[in-house]
Amino acid sequence: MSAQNDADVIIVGAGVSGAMVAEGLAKKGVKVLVLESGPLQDRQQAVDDFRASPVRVPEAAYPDVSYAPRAGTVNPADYYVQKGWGFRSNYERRVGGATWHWLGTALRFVPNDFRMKTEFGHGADWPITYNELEPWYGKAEDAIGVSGEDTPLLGSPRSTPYPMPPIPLSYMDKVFKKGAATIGLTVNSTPQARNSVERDGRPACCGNSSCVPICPIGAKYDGTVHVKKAQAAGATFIPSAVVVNVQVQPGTATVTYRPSGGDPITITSHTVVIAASAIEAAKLMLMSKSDQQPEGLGNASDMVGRFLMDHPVQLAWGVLPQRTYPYRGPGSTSGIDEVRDGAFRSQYSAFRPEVHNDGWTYMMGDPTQQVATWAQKNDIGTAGFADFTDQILRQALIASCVEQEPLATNRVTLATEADAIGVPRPAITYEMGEYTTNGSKAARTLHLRVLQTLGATGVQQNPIDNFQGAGHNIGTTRMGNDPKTSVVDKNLRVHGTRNCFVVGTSPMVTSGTANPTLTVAALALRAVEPIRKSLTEG
Amino acid sequence: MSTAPPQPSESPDPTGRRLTRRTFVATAALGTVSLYLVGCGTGDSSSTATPSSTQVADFVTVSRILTGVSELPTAPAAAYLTALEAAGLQLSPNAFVATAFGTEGAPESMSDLERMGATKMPGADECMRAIAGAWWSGMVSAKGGATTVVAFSDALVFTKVHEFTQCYGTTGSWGAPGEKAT
Repeated sequence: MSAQNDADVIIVGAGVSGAMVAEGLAKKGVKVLVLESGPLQDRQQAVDDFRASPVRVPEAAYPDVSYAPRAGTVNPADYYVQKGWGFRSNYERRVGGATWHWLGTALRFVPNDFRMKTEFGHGADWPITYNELEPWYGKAEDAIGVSGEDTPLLGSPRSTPYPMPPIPLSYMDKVFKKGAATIGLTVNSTPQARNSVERDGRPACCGNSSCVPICPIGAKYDGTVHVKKAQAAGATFIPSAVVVNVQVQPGTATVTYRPSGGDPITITSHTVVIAASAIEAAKLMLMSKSDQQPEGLGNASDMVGRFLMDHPVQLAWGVLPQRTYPYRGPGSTSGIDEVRDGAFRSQYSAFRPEVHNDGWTYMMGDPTQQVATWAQKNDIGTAGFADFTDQILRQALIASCVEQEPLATNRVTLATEADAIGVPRPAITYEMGEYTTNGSKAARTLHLRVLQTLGATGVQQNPIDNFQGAGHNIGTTRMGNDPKTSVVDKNLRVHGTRNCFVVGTSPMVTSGTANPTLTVAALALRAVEPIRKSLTEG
Repeated sequence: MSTAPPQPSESPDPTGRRLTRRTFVATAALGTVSLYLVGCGTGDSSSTATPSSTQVADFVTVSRILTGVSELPTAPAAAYLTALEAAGLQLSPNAFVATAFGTEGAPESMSDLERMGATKMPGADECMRAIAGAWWSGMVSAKGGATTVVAFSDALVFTKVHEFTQCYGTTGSWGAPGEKAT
């Protein structure tokens, strides 16, 4: 370690993974500096902004900032330069990251998600196994606080109990559970990073029903939990610091950032950890060119930016015969796990149908938007709004996150177009691929069976090529043993370097059917010790 | 079921503020008031004169018919009327209401609105839907322009479904059937 450096370790990005690594290192006495491109976020301000927004998409609670733009839900092409089908998911650039508006689902991957190539001939194998990551899953569940039911039906063996009892099923879940059982399917409680009891200084969930985009009371975990823990352990955070270049040489990392997009400042550390979203991480590494890194950081094999994945979402919705009282409790509290794994994965991708408690919000907007639309097209007055009320209390939605096969052609590159401060925007080439398309078809078939079993009427589904994004940006700095086909090794160290690491969703090799955050947290905790050791490796 | 938060549990906030369920409810209520002010201040300044108390009262009377709700939360009424007047509707809500009252006093039903000729006025259908939609959604959309959130908690739809960003009740209380926490 050099006494002249500004820090032992600079971390780029203050989302879940960056904050967890920061806390872990700071607790070991490492001098940590975290640079976050976006601003600090006040929780109450997010609530106020959400309520005052006429279009309550996930980012409605988080106004864009010119120096750290990100894609919007309605028109991602405002930021992404789209090629192919168009990438539908976005993220947040602010302290705490995208967990501000995540749903909170905290499923583990299933073991076969780590060996897709070997077992099914699709995608790739991870350089680590489920069993290697399993203890870290347990630590991650403890760290972020997961409420769950220990059942083999989830398909992920575990050596430790869930830290909290499960979030109880909603009335909607119970109706689905009873109906699905008649066709041989089981509706399980979903593990969630949401307190079912008061824990770790955070209250139990009281059903604000606004998990996406903001939990007003902090019962749902978000990255700011570990930002505070890291600060308490001695880490320093600098918000609104847009990192535009990272140069890595043995024993020294040189990081250049622009405060609020202004004049650049260059600082140094021994080790650097890139903890940005999959898209921003790839963008930054591709931008970081020099004589020593002519293709960008870690990009000697042209692998940075490749294998971008999401969970293309298939939705099916209808009106149930009886009132099920949606719009209460967390957005989703249960799902069907039988289709997350099986021999069928040699033919088509897996998926996890989730029962939603938030009615038709996903497609039609929240109830205020729905009733505004109703008033324009349907009868008004006493009878008209009685019809609306009856319908909204019988709404049902089942939605599947479909596994995305990693394709080398799905990639992030640098666009010629720049953002407001002159930084290249991400150009994204993206399509679903045949394997994933077939998985979506299977999801549609199952959704119809379930809704028909429940007696739903007016059932609709989104067209396969008009899927919704899940907000799960995965891949772009693949983990692997071979530098020719991957960017980081199994300890998340960039190939060819000793002092540069990448954490977050970007090293993930496959997408599975689980929301990535719990796996991200497990990988981040596992990476702390290798990162610390790098400080003594020159 | 109970909407009363059992304990004022604290949660962390990255800016260092400490939030409790109790303070959240209090500040959320303040936010609602400010939304009314936002609604009053938007739109074409030439048509955003503060409505008289009589205009507001008559607007509420007609709104009861159009919304099908007899007990309207009157606090945002002036803001709704102001925003609707600024929305660029073909038929002014004040003009619609004035016609509905005519010389016979307060209308009490859709039939009264029809009998007074209000529903036959050019642009009446659009105007009636805009008024009803505003009360139910809390929002007013300017013709060909932006949508303004005038009220949130007072949107009528939240008398039928749970108002999100507010506690519903104890953990798991949503497991029982029911429209609203009581």
